[in-house]
Amino acid sequence: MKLKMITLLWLNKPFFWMLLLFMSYTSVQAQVVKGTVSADGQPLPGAAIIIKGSSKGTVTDFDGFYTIEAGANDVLMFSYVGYASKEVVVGTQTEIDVTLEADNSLDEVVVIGYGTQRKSDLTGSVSSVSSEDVNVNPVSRVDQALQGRAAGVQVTQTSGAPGAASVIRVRGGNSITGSNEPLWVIDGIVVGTNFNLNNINSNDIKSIEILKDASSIAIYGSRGANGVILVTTKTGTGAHLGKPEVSANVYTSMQMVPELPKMLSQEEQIAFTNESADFRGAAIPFPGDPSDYPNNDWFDLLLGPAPIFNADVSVVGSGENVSYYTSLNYFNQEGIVKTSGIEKYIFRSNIDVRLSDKVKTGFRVNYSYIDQKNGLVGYGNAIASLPTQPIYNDDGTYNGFDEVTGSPWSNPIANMNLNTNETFRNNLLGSFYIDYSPSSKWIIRSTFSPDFDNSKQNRFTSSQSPNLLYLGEGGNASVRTVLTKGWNNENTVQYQSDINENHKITALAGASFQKVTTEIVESEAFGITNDATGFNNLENADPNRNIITSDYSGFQIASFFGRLNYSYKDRYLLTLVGRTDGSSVFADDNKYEFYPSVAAAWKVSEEPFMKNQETFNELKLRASYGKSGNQAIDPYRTKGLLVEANTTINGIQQTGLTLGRPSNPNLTWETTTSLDIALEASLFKGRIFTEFNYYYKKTNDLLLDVTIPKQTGFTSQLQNVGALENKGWELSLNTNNISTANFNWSTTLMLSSNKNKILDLGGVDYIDVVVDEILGSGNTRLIVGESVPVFTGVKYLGTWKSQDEIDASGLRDPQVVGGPKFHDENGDGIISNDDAVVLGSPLPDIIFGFENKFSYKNFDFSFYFQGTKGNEVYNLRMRNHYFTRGEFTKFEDIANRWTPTNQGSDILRAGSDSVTGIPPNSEYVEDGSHIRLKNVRLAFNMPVEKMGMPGIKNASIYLTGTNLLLWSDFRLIDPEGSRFGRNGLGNIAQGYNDGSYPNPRTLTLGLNVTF
Amino acid sequence: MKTKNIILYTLLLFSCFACEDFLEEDPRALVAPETFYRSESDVRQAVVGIYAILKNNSIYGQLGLDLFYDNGADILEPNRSANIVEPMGNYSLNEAIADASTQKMSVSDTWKDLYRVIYNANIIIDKTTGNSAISVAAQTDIIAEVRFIRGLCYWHIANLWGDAPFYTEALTLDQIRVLGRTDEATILDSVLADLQFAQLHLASDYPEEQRGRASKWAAAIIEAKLHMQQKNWQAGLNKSLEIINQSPHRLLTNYADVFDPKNEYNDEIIWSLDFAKDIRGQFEEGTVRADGSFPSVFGNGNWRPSMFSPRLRDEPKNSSERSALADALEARGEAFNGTGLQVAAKDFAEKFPLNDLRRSINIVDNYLGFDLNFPYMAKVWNLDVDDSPRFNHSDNRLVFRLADVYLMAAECENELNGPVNAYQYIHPIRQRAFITQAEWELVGLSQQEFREVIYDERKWELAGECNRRYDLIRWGILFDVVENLEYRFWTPNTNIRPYHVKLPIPLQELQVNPALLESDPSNNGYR
Repeated sequence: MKLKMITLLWLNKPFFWMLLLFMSYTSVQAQVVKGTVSADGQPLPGAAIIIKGSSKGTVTDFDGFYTIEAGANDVLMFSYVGYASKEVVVGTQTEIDVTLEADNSLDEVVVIGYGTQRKSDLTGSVSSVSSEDVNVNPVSRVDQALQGRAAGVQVTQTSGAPGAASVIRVRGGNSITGSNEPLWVIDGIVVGTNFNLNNINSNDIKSIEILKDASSIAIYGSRGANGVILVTTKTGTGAHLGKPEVSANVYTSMQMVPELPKMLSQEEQIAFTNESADFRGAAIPFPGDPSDYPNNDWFDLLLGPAPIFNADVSVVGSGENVSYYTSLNYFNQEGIVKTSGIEKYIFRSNIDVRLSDKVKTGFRVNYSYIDQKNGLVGYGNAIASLPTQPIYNDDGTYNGFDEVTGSPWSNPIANMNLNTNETFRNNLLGSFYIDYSPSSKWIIRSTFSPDFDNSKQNRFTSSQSPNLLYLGEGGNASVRTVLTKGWNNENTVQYQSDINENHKITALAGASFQKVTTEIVESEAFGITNDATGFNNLENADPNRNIITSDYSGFQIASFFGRLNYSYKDRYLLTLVGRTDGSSVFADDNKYEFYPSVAAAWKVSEEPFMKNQETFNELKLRASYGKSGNQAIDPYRTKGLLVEANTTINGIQQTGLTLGRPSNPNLTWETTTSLDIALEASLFKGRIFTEFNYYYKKTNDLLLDVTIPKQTGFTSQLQNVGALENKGWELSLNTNNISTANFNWSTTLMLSSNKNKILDLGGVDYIDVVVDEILGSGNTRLIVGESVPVFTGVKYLGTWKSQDEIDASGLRDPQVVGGPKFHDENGDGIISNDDAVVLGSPLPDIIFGFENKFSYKNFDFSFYFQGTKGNEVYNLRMRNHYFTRGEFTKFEDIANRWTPTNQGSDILRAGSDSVTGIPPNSEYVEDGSHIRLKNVRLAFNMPVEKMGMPGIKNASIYLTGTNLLLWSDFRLIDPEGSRFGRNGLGNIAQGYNDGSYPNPRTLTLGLNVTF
Repeated sequence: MKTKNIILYTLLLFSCFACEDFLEEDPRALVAPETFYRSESDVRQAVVGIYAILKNNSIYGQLGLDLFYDNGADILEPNRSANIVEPMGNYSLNEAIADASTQKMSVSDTWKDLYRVIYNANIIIDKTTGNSAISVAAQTDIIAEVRFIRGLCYWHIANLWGDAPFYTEALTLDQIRVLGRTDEATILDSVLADLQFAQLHLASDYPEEQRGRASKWAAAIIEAKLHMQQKNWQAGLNKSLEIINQSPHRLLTNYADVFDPKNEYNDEIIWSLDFAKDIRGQFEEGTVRADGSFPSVFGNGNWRPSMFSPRLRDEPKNSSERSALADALEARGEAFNGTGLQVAAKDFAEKFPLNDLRRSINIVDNYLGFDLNFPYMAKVWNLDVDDSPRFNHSDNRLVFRLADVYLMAAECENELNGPVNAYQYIHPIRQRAFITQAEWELVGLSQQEFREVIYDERKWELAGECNRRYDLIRWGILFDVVENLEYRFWTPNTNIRPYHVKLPIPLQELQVNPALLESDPSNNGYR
């Protein structure tokens, strides 16, 4: 019946129904429970007693005595600062006395690769993020929730667009050619570095663990070098027996346009454009009065407030042999840049079945359907369109011609109204397991996890697009489908034994196999002269103009691994891990590699000499050292390749092929060796918990596209040549500042610093990275001794103040008074890439997250700051919007440029770029340090009982704000963003900003109800 | 369960996939060199591939060779400052600038693509020779065509750099990457051998469906040029006369007809590279995007006519008549939608004889009654919006034509025996350029006077066809000509140095292969 209801709702979007439907549940009869809470043989006054999952509670009196009304199925939670909380099921008891043990905040259980471990027994570096942190502020993607939450983990949103991914760097980037993204493992399924996190409902997540050091990642061998993120979803294990618990969470948000970059006004822009044309001797584009021309505010035309609606329903429960968690999520977000948006349906079911005392089985299934609107206009359109550009012609048709450039113009308003660009995605991620436990010492587990991902992108550009009409081109359309199929099989055997009181061991051995294939088909048609069928009938186009492509790629990985944990007297811990990985992407002689690691920990606080002190509850020192890898190459990269080189003979296209890249069977894995030293301490009865890590990582055999002499017919060859290092520290600090029955205040601070340095580039001093063909080379370099990468360019010195100054400079390039003055670093009289100096790096010195949480009676309040310091941003808009022609809009600073009446200005005169070329220069690089008030949250936990709401266990209303304040000096306002994304060029080219889709300011109102 | 059983079970689990086959790659979508070049059609596709490289920006596609053969001389200039043209047009070229790729047309791009052709050509020859799957006749035809293209590329390399890395076998990368410079004479000997082989085996003419392939006469004209370069005048004359007398090519009666975009395979044209409009997915895509923007990679979508076409924003002289001009153009289905980056040089425009009929399509300074700011070279431009849209032209790239051969014959004869018998070769060219015999007929010239007439005649006849700097260098007068010329706004006349007759090997090449500096530490005088 329940399933049927969900199906019904699935078909009909309005999820409010769910709330109504589940309202009918009634609660179990309440009874009075009383007792005392004590510790160390003394009664504890002021200890809190709360009914789990509700806001009902009480505190003990001076004698440690309490009374509370609770149902038989309720669980009472007893807590007191400095002591471990305790949970007791009420059942038929009417008197419950509880003794609390001194708190051991290190003793939560954390998920590690292929298992779990008590935090106090960890020998490696693992950051945990709880579901509370993930969901404290609603996020549509789990990566967004990680920002600033884990020390040593830098999360950068590529843009504010709905569904946009984040760039994640765990303790810096280890690779130059390969991906630097961490490996994602969802419920034990290795889904790779590129999994679309839109497929996962963040409300389903129970915990996230980030594995950072060699010891914890070595179990993932060649795939773990960039860190591993383990996502564990909720299950029914531990849920109440009997009646299921139903939770609903509904929220709605309003996203608002944040602060916008400041550009010249229409009048100032006209003056600039005219001045620039006049200087070049070209005709004046705007000879009339400014009021004769349009004054369009393109930001206003293309951006606007946009809503989000989200509804979640989950059912959790357990019977004698079965426990389950099932959820359904509907999410719909429109973007603040018009025509962008995402709509998602996500279904999850996690079921565990106990077949016998020895055998357990179950599955995890996640299905998602995503409908993404890719946007028909960009934020760039809003920045770059001249206010004078008309939207419509005098006759009311769309304008499609830019009079200033004299070329066809792609009209964003027309594009919004006429075109289509959408992507549909289906993803099924499942995992089936069987556990066999012949005795309490052995667990044998085998899992099989299929992953299907299928997407289709439809794109249509109308034949009525005014620029196409001008060109007489006709419309065009394309469809693209991508089908990815993968499976993952993991088999492990675990042995656990306490040899005697002093010696304990846990051993794990396993084998893992994975295969993933991707197939792509794309068809593109041109010369479509009518809009009757859009992208659905590509043959309705010029039969001679189409592009058809298809592609196939796949890889396999086979791995064998083992881990041994040994502890002596529960004080001295040792972990040995080894993994051998075999990968299909390397040639026969290089397919396998072995990754060992060793880690040790010393629980100082367990030593007899520490027994008499009060300061430390826990004190642990640990260190790890080991090797991990990165399979940084795409499939088939060891092989040579012929690429398409078609051309015409007698006007007819002929198929041609030419050698596209040289083979290199010698390619092998990039290997990262890392050392981690850490100290964990819990002080003052758990009021302060702190962890400090220092690490050093060195990556050898970097895969680099090495420049080879062009006389070979090739420009570069992928080789294993370079080396780089990352070193840094991480500090996390959690404090319970105030903790009373009615008022709590806690603070969390995450601080980390990573220094990245290139040690070797295969013998060359530097490599130019071409991030943009038009920008050319010389702006981005990999330089030995610097970080990956650095921004380079010529120093901009201001303007030439007189002809004498120019003559004295010895520059041979043409210069003009009022024109740009660049520093001739090498003194050869020519401004060229040879004069480029290092101007900055996209890598921050410090990243931080800082959160304060308060609770007072039924109210919770928290705020959370996050930011970076010491990073630079490369402003890709500077060339066009500061230095060059009048056909581009200009930043507002340009109003104060050099003119014959303002000769003191150091901003170049209009048009002077036509005399002096504009090389990449120091003005392009800006400070990217920023502080963001990421979240503010206010929640009211309704006293449902007092309010007389039978059947409701818990209800809360919350109001949150995201991205409310931003402190930054960046011209394009928000320095966060990544023009080149997280892959390919984005592996290293971070910090490039061309005014990415802005991060909206969001206000959310939500309701959480549990029945 | 006993421990032993558990171990057995584990081993079983581990062994089920642990076979080598599981880790084999399955490159289903990849054309691998190891399995290609098996059949005739495979190899023919590889030959099409090297034609595609020839049509890249850096060679014949856009301004690649124009920059080195026509700019920085006395025929072409840009109408404004442009970083594509500046290094050659203003003689600011140095080793570092040679590296910087500007729209894929830098010195290093040309160097790269010429060697790319050579590397591919050597592989094709290697895989074709003795390939039992290919008939002997087809083998010979393929090898002849590939050797012609290889010879052409080495000829350009020798012209542009002189001594250069040289290999004609299918060597490994490790063998090629350390090669130093071979002397120019050795390279040219090999070019000659390639061209002669091509002439023996290539067709004299191709059926319509194969138009655009090089014939034996394309090989012959380069051979003749090679002889003249080596002052081997008799051989040059013989080869020129062989082309004039034996090839199917003939001079058209009307000069302008040679350049008619509607008749691109006319009789006078010995070889032109085929281009077509709307061809997308070419080797380096250069066509304008559907939304009017340009792809970030500039490629061989044939932009060249756009470089010679005017920009409306620069014209006409009286800017208040701009919309009237635009309307007049539109009425004819035309537009000024080019870049104007290759216009007639100041000196060329001023000196072009007014009574020369060739002037009208070499110098256009008034169009449809509007006076223009710059003199445009209409033989290369194409204003037709439908057949030849901006950056998407169907216009072929003319490489060689018969008029050149007549002037070559005249020059050889004059150098051998003086003008007496040379008039017969220059007169057919001049006859169609002037109305009256008094104007076209040359009489009573001394050998030196005839030589100087040839200097000018080649300029007026062959402007914009990638001959000029090569000719001036061959005659040894580049430096004098440029130094004494007045330019529109740059100062190549004061910047030019004697070493500018050759290009520098780009800096990066020297860094990754120091052997390139062994024979000439000065890098052609640039360091």
